[in-house]
Amino acid sequence: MSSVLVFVFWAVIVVVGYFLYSRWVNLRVFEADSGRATPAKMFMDGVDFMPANKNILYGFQLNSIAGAAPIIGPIIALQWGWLPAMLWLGLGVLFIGWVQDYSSCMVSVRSDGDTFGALSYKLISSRARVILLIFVYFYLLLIAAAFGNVISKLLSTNTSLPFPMIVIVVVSLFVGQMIYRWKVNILVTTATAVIAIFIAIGLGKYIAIPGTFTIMLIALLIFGYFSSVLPVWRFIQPFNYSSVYVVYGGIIMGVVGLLIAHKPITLPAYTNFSIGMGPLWPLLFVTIACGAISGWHSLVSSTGTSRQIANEMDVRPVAAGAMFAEFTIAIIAVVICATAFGNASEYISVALKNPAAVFTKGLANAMATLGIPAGYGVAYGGVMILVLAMTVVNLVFRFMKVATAELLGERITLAKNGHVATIIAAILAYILIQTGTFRYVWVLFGGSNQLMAALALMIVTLFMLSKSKTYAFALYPMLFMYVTTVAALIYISVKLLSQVATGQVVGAKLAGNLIAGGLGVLLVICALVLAYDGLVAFRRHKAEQISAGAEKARA
Amino acid sequence: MAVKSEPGYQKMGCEQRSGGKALSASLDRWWRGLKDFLYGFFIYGMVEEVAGRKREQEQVFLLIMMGDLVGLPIFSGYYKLRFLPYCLPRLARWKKEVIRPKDLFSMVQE
Repeated sequence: MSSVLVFVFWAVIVVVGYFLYSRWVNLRVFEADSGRATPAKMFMDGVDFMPANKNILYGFQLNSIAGAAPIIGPIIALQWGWLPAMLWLGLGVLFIGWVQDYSSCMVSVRSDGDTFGALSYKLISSRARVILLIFVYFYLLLIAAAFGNVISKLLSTNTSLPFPMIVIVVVSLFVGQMIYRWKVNILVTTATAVIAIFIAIGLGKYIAIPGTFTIMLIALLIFGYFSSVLPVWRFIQPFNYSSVYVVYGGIIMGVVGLLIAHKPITLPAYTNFSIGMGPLWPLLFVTIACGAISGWHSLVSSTGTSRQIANEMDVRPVAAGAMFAEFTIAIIAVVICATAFGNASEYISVALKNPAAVFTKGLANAMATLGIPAGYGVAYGGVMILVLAMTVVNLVFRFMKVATAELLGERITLAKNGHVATIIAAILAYILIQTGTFRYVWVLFGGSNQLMAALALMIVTLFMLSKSKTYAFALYPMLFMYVTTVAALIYISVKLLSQVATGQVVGAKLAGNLIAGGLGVLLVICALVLAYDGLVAFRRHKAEQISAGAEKARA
Repeated sequence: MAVKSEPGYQKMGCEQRSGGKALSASLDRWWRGLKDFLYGFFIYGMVEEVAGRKREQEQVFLLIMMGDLVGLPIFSGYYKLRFLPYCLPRLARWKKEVIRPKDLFSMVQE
């Protein structure tokens, strides 16, 4: 199958999803009104609440939601064949993905810019907020473990990558200093940083820095520690800013290369319902999260974006539009990977050992058609995955620091200390990465991410019900995501724990299975409690709606 | 062939001119949209960070100024009176910012 046909599929999904379905929901269901005051205007404080132009917000939203997951997820899921991966990406974003991003933002806009913590407290129950916090903490831990594994593996298997990464970190520190302290022109700063990074990628193969998996992991955790304790302007933000040029430069080169090369997809459309990792349902739906649907987006939409929306009519292009852009990135990743290898067995042997290597090879092939040497292309693809994953790890450690303080700060004063909280998070991540099996940790991460999405849709459903509006567009996707992700978490937890019970694993693997399986069980318990509370809240809102209707009829 | 004085010629010319203007306006709109998108994608986060840091410092300053309201008499009355005209307009916003509940989810914005 030609990769050009995939782009036709992409276009159909975008036209139907964005131009028809989202338009209908925006105008008929939410009844978006450009005259209604938004929280950004009502509570304008110049920082959190600040009306912004929709194009600016669109760029900001896309930058906030797009990480490494739309690339890594499809690479692993291609083992079931490219067709299921492609269909899930397309149908997922069409019926669920954009619905979640858009409606999370809209619900927050209509609730004075409340976050999900406050919304779950108001709409579900008081304990829902605490459970959501516990859930988010372990969700973050799984993100750190999944991405930490990808980073350490890539750095330890490709000796040409550590040098450019060190250069990026040093350049980022300079970028922060130049922009915020020395007040150097942003264009000069950017040009200097980008040139330095592009040269460093080329020099990587001449300055090889070997290191074992453990050494690279420790280096990563030290990096995570500093990104958590240093001010945002000093490290995280300049790092994200400097590296984003690498990422989107790679995507543009990849797309142009693919269009020129016009390569056929070499992987089979469909392999088996059940592969080594597990059955297609439910595992495919949690392996591919970002690109189809991701709970992370609901957090971004309901907090940052919703407080800066100047006009209700902007929610659709900003939140739904950015989701369709991420779907596009995932589709590009699928095509790059599905055209990278000569046959399926070659692909699977690499994908199982080091999923990121699949992407680097695919991107190098696409870049080669533009005349870029294959060696540079592989290094470029590697750096691209690394910076995407490190951007997420940066953020996760900062979050975990605050989550530790919120969860334990009242009882243990030490937990409020940022250094202590970060070190606890780093130790937990280290243990999980060293002992866990990557593909199961990835599925657990995907499961928790998708469950977060289901919980976001639950909040949307309850909100719509409480306002006596149509809620089916959120209810059915929520039920599907909830059942699928809980099933995936149960499947993986049972698989991991049964390996322990039957003595199939020993030593570090035994500990890894116990921790990962235990985390899976904990997430399932949190999800069940939230579902119970959600059901009670649903009945309560329904009863209120009926009594309000009866009163209206009497009057 | 159309002659300059004929209405048809003038109409055609007007249409061409208005078509050109519409195209130029449309291109201008796209260009501005692209510039805004790139600004949002690359720079907006940094601008927000600077605004956030400025607000933090202003909050501390206002706390020093108005500390006695919450039992912290830490500033001499003389200076307080001199600064008061500058601080009063910001008082309502400061109060709102300080009492607004914040949780883990608020951090996503950073």
